[in-house]
Amino acid sequence: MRAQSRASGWFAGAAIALGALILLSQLPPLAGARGQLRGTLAPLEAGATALEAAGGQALSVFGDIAALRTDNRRLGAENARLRGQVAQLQAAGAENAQLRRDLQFERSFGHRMVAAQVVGRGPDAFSRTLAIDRGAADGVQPGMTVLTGAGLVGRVGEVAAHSASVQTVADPLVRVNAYLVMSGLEGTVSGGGGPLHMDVQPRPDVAGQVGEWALTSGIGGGYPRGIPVGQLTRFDRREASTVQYAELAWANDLSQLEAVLVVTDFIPS
Amino acid sequence: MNRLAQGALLLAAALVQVTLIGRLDPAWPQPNLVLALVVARSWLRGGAAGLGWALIGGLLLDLAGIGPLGAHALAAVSAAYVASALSAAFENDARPAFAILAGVAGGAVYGVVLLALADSLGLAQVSPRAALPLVLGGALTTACLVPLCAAAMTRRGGARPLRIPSW
Repeated sequence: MRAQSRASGWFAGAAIALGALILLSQLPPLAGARGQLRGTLAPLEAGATALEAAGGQALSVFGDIAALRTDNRRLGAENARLRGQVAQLQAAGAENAQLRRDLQFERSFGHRMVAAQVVGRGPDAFSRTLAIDRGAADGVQPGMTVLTGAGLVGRVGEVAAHSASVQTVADPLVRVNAYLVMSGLEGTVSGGGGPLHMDVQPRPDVAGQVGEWALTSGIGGGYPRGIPVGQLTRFDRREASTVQYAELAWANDLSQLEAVLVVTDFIPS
Repeated sequence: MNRLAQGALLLAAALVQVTLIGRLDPAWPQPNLVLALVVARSWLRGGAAGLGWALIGGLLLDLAGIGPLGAHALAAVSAAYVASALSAAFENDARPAFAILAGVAGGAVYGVVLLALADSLGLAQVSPRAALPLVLGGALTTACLVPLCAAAMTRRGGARPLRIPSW
């Protein structure tokens, strides 16, 4: 009984202390300090990533694994680039056919960017994040959009001098406003376990088509318009529902991401 | 194992977590090595021993992640508490089935605490459709890892004590 009481006391003490830490670290004036503190782990992560890469190379001596992997990566990157191009062509075609007017939105790849290497990844399925080797010293700021040639990766979360955390689209806490290029349906994409989810605002007699691309809509000002997010793999049409559900295959593969681009001239509103 | 070695073990586990394990396909459940070590420690050695590992391991995960500092630590401490309470409830029965149960409970509690924190802090409201696979996946992978971690710890640190304090 006494042990149980002591147990509860220890737990309550730790929970209160951690609760206070959580609340304190959320205060806006401490955001910079939080980023700097997180930056302390970045060199270790970079070292571990380099070690992992070196280990992988050493093991590949026993076969053609390295060559196959390189080919696979190259083909994967090429495939991702082509998929991105298809998405852009789909978007351009749909816009030309349906609208034929000047929307005057900024083309996503007309922005200034900084290339960064991925040096670490999120600690668990609840934090699908990346650590990159660029920070405030390179012009990276919180909120900036991060992408690859294939499409949207996410946005910069916290920034240290020479490193930053990126909250990816696959993170369950991220929301991205997007539209489907063929059907024109709009919605909000969120991450989580498995594929990306999209809550679609329904329109009468309009359904999403499997294979069409979802691009950032620019609504809300969080991301530039027109960046590929993912490809529709499933669309649940419910007549009576106020929101329809869709699933997307993310344009990027988190497990394969080695380098990303940070858009430095688009500051979210 | 002295405290320095314990810290080094947790740091190494956290680095493996954010490099090798972080590379796994996000479509599949992602195992949490640090959490598995914390739960195994709590199950084997009681809450007081598990609490220390939970605090250090959780804060390391916080440094590697994004968002409020202390969230992963609080989730890990909750998982450690549940694992040690289960261990006490089953009178320190050393059978692997109970380690698996501790892993399921610890993994589920960890996920629920993280999602509840995100919700209560206004970071995001995760829909049940997205939350369920995350929590179940976490529980499943932790359940698979805890018996392995417990076996390795027992091998390294000697047999499990017959009677361990709950805290």
